[in-house]
Amino acid sequence: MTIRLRQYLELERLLLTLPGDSVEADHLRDAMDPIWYSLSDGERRVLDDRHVTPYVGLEAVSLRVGAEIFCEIPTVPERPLPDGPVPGWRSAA
Amino acid sequence: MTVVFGRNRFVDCGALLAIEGTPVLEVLTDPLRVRLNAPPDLPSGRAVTVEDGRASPEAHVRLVSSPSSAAIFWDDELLVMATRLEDDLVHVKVDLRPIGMNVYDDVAGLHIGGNVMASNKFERFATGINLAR
Repeated sequence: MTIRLRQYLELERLLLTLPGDSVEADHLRDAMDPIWYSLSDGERRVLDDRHVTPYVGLEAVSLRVGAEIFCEIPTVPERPLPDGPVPGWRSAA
Repeated sequence: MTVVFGRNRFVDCGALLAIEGTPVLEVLTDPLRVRLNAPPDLPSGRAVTVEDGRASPEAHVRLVSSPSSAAIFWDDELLVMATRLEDDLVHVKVDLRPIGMNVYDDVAGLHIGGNVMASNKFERFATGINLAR
């Protein structure tokens, strides 16, 4: 995917979150126009042939997590097998 | 597309997970791939970025893919694995603890910080779960 196509899709994704008749959506559409015209015919065909599902909202759930989102990197202590025979394994089994 | 993630279903959503509105985890199809953008200020210093086949930091992040799966590793530890189960159904397994993020899934559901989420269905949202600090 080219950078131009990627930019267009990112702006389009943002557009889908805005009310279609809002001023913000108009501004965004204006910003998308020059990118659209700079796309190749093939890239425009890719965009035209899509099935787009409009979003109903920006986020489904918002969680306030604070610093709990971060954690220490887990470390696993090394437990190598002993070199010699394992004492008492037969009775443990 | 439906993504099964920690016993939750994300139907036609953009990002599965975001922090303060910035996407952290996204699954894309055709071909199947995963975008991972850990916050740059991660206390662990392991701010992984994976986007369109490019991974950072290159010394630690490995990408593995096949027609029906895509995975991201930190060295030899799995961070994300996406598996296409059907044309329109993808299963995602996540464990971001190796990079210092308390996000992982198991049989109980999706663990985020101290929260566990399971059996939810999110449909047509730009972001499924947005995390606020």
